[in-house]
Amino acid sequence: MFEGRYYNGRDARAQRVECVGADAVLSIRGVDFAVQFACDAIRVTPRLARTFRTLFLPDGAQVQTDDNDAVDALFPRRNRLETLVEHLERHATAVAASIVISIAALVFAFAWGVPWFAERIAQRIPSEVERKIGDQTLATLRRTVLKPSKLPQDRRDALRARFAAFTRDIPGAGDYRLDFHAASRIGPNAFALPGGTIVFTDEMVQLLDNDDEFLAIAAHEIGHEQHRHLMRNVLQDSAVILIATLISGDVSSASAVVVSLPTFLLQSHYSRAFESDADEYAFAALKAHDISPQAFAEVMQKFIRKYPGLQSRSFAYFSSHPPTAERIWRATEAANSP
Amino acid sequence: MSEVTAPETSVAQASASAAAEPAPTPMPAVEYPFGFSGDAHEYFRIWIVNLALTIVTFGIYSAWAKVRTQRYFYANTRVADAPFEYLAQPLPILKGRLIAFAVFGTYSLSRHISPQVQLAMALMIFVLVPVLIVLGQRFRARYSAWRSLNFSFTGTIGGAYAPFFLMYFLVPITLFVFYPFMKAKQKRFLVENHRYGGITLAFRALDGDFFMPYLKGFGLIVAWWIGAAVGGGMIIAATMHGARTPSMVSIYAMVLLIYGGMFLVGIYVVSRVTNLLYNAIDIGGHRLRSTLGARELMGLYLTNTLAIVASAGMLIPWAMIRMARYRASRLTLLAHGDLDAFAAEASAERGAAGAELGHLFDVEIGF
Repeated sequence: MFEGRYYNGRDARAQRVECVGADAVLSIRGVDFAVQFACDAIRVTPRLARTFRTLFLPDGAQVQTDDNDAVDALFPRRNRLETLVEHLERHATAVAASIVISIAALVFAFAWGVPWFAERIAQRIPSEVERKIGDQTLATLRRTVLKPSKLPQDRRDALRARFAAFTRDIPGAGDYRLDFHAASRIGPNAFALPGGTIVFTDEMVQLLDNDDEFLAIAAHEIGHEQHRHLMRNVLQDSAVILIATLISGDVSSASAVVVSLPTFLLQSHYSRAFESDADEYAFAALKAHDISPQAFAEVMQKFIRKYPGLQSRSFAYFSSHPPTAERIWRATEAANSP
Repeated sequence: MSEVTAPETSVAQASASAAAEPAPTPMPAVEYPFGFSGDAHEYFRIWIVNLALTIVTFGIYSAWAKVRTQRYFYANTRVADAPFEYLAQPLPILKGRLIAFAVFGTYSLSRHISPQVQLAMALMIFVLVPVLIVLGQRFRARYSAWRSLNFSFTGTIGGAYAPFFLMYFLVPITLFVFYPFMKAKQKRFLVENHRYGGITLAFRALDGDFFMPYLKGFGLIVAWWIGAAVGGGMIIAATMHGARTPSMVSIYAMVLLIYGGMFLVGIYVVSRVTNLLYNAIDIGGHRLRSTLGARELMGLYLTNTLAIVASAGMLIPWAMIRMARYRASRLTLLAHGDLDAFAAEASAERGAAGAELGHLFDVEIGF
C-alpha cells in the first residue's frame, strides 16, 4: 500500500489517496471515491533519485507518489534502460567508474582520438578542394594584410629556383608555389596555406642572410604541407569546439568563459605539436640536402634579437608555437647529430 | 504549507523595480514561496553517469541525459506544495540535437571553405530564428506540468516574425533606442501565447518599463569602459619602463577587465529584466513576484565559474544546484483566490490539432 496525490485530469485539485496493488490490479481509494485499473494499462515515469513518480491512469487522471520502492514492486520491468541507469547512479562503484571513464575518455579523445581522425580525414580531402581553400584564404589575406612584394624580381627568381631545386626530390612537392608579399603589419614571417602555397613576407626575406637560412624556413613550411597540418588544424579545431559545446550544453552558468579557456589551450597545444613536427621534418630535409639545421637556429636567434619577448616562457601554454629557445636547442642538436 | 511572509520582501522589490509593482488588488494575496530541494551530491551522481554514458555512446545518450536532468530540476522545484514535472521523451530531443549538430558542424567548417557559404548559412539561421523559437517554446511548454495540468504555447511562426526578426532591423536605424522595446515585445509575445491548462497568461507590463534597465546597463558599460581605459592605460604606461610595446600580462589583464565588466553589467541587466518579466506575468489573476538581486547573482556566477575551472568541471553539478536554489528562493506565487480552480483545457479539437502538428514538428532543435 502507498499514499499518493490524485488528480482527476480535469482540474488542478489534489486529493490524498491510498493505493493498493494486488493481482496486477491497482485499487485507488480517496475520501469519496474508489477506482481500479489493470496495472498493464498504467504508464509509469522512470525512477529518478528521490523525486516523485507519476502513474498515468487510462481515464486521463494521474497519481503522484514519493514511494519509489512500492511503485517498482508493483510495476516491475518497466523502463528497462532508465532502471539500469538509476542503478548505476545509486552505486558508488558505478559513479566512481563514470568519473574515471569520463576523464579517461576526454583525455584519450583529445590526446589521440581527435588528431587521429583529423589525419585520416585530411588525407581523404581531394587536393583540388584543399587548393581552393588555400586560394580563398590567400585572396582574403591579399585584401587585408598582404601587399604586392617590393623585392627585386631577380631576387625572387633566385629564391624560386633554390626552392624548386630543393623540392625536386620531395614527393608531391612539384606543384608547391612560392609567394612573396610585403606585409608591414605582420613583419618577418612565413606561412603555409592549404594546397601547397607557401608565403614569405618581404620582411622575412630581408631578415635572411643566405640561401641556407631561406631553405631552413622553407623546409619548415614544406613540412606543414607534407603533413597536411593546415587541414588537420581546421578539422581538429572544429572537433574541439563541437565536443566542448556538446559537453557544456547544459552548463548555463558562464559557460562561454568556462569552455573557451580549455578550448583555447587545447587548440594551442595542437598547434605547438604541428610546429614541432614541421621543425623535425625541416631538420631531416635540410640534412638530406647537406645543409646544416644550424641555419634554422640562426634565423631563430635573429628573431630573439629583434623580438626579445619571444624568449619568455611564462605564456608557453597559451602560445601557438613552442618556446623559441627550445626550437634553437633542437636545431643545434640536430645539426650536431650524425 | 502555505506561509504568509512578512511584507518586507515586497518593500525591497518595490524599490528595486517600482514600475513592475503589481496593481493593488482588493483581495489580499496569499504568498506561496517557490522552493528547490535538489541536492548537489545526489545530482552529481546523475550528472557523472549521464556524462559517462554520453561519452561511450558518442553523444547519442545526451538526449536521455537531458530528460533526466530536466526531470530532476523540475521535480525538485515546488510551489504551493506541488512539484513541477518535465514529461518530454528523449527521441524528439535526439532528433533535434542531430539537426543542430549537422547545422553547427557545417557552419563551423564552412568558415574555412568559403566566406560566402558561411555568410549564407548565418543568414539562413538568422531567418529561421523565429521558427526555432516557436518550436522550442511549444515543445518545452507542452512537456511542462504542475498539478497534473500541462502548459502549452499557442504562438504561431508568423506571429514570431515581427518581434524576433523584423524588429531587429529597427534597432540600428534607431541607434539602439528601440532595443529595450523589442525585448519587451518579445517577452510579451512569449508570455501572452503561453497557457496553463485552459488559462491564457497575460503580460501586465508596459513596453516602456523595459527602457530603464537597458539604459542603466548601457550607462554602466560606458562608465566601466572609460574607467578601464583611463585606469588601465595609466597602469600600462607606468609598467612599460620605456619598452616599445606593453607587456603581454598587461594586455591580458586589460582584456579581462573589459570583458569582465561587460559580463557583470550583463548579469545586472538580466536580473532586472527577469524580475520585470516574472512580475508582469498574470495567470488567471494569480501573480508572480521575482526579486533576483544583481549583486547576489554576480557573486553566484563568479564563484561558480571559479569553482568549475578550479575543479576541472567536477563542480558543475554543484554550481547548477546552487543557481537553481537561488532562483527558486527569489520567486513567489501571489495567489488571489483558489489555486485548485485551475481547469484543464476544455476544448478537445485544439488539442487534436496540436497533437497533429506536434507529430510533424515535435522537435527541440539545439543543445
